[in-house]
Amino acid sequence: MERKSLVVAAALSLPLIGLGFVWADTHRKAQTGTDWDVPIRGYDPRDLLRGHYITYQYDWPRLSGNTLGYISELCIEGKAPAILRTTVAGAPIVQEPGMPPLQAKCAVIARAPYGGDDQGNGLGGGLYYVPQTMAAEYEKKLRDPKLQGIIRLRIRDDGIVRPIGLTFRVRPLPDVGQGEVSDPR
Amino acid sequence: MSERQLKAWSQAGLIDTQTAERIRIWEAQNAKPLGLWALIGLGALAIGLGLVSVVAANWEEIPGTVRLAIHAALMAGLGGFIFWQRGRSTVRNTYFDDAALFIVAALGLTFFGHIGQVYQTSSPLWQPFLGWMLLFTPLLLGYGRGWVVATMWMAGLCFTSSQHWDWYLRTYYADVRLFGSAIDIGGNMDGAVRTPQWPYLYMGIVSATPAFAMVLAVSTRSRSSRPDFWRKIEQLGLVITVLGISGFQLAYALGGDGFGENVKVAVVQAICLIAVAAAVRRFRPTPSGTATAGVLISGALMVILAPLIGWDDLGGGILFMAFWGSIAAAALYASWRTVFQAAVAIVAIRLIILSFELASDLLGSGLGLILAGIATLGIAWIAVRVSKRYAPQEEAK
Repeated sequence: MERKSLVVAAALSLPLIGLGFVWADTHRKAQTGTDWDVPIRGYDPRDLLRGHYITYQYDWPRLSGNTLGYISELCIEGKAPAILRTTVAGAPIVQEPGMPPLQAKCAVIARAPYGGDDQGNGLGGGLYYVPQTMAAEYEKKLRDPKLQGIIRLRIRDDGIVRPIGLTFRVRPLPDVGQGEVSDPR
Repeated sequence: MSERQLKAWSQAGLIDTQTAERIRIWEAQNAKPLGLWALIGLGALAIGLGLVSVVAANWEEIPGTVRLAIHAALMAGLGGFIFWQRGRSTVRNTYFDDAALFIVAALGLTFFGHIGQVYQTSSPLWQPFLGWMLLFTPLLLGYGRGWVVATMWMAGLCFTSSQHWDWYLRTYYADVRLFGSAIDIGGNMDGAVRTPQWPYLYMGIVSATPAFAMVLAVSTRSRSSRPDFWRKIEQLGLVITVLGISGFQLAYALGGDGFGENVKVAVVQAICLIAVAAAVRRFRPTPSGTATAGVLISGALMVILAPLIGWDDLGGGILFMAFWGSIAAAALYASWRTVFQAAVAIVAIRLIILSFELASDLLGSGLGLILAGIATLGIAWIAVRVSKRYAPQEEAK
């Protein structure tokens, strides 16, 4: 092949190789980590350009620490997938009556991408892509006060979280919300 | 040129039949199939939008990895087609080549979004865009020919830098008062706030991103086999720079409060613009190159003066008009007819707005309204006269 053709071939191959690498890397990292269940609140803005997704806020079980605003690191205690208690990293862990004694050891530390994702979310919330056909149903269930949405989160060893599933369970009455321990199931 | 006109002219005896025939033959050889190009462009746009919505539909019937594999195969197939047809077409059709490049690059951009959707990952938006720029810049700048690819690349560059800027402010300025208002994402960063050493350097340089693309364009243009493409990149860079500066001035005029800190950013940006002006003048010592450099230097002055002078009705208005007046002067010097007329029109419109702003106290009385109305008519009349009488004849830029 003459030199000119080689240059064209290189310019055309570079994006293909690069994107292939990004895909392979994402795929490999997606296989690692532990899975946890987190209750959520949310709604579906139906963004047509970016695909259908649900944006939601986490109701981290027994959350303590400075929970106002941006959460960048979170210590998670418990046995996957059931979260016992969560603490904003850096905050002292408070021993509540009726809770098992603290080990002061995190099962895993969740970390937000530095500067947040493209929504500016830290660990306060996230977004979950859903199939077009399911979007309306999920939206209806999220609005139903009798149902509690549960996001299954896969937390990689480096702390990066990503949602891998959405389920619903009947909310216990009266609504105790944040205080309860997540149902292991 | 229509056949009907040719017939009418030859019947009226304006041209003889041989001339009419020669015109027909010349037209047939040199005709630009604008309609066809428009259709090709429309087709490329439809395919691009279709790809986006196919990704957006997120079909659950097809597993994510299969969808991604189809997406990748489309890209590889189109890449193979571009490679195969290169140099094959007897008539080099700018827009067809550009359409193929546009589609393959659009497929690449949506591939990032597609991966995010399949693997449910999220990241700051500048990251996939930067990746896309790195991977596709050699292809787009190396083989682009027309407006389609030039605009796509410039849009990618400006969007990437503005998204990085946005992320940077969110990240580093979590608790710093900037631009007169707090950008507050909560005080819970746990020491993660890394205070940068040279924030103003960063902000000034990023503000000048489109101007830097101009340096790349002028320095490559003379050596390239596609000087027209690089001229388009340069023009886009200048237009975006000028509009950006004007936009800032308007934003000042529309009411911001004083923020002395911004002067530092402005100084860095102005230095960048002057450096770009010097480079443009050096690589293109023609009247057009000199005029371009002049506009950039005028822009640098505006950037520094705007935060210093203040932005009440009069100060901001005069600054804005001085900037566009200098653009009109540069256009006059370089014989850019359309640019001259546009600049005169913009100055006139700003002047009319200014007359209403200054008369706002009197508006209630009716007298101000009458004065502003008279001023409007006068300005419009003068602008049309100036635009017609002094506009240069169009020359090649």
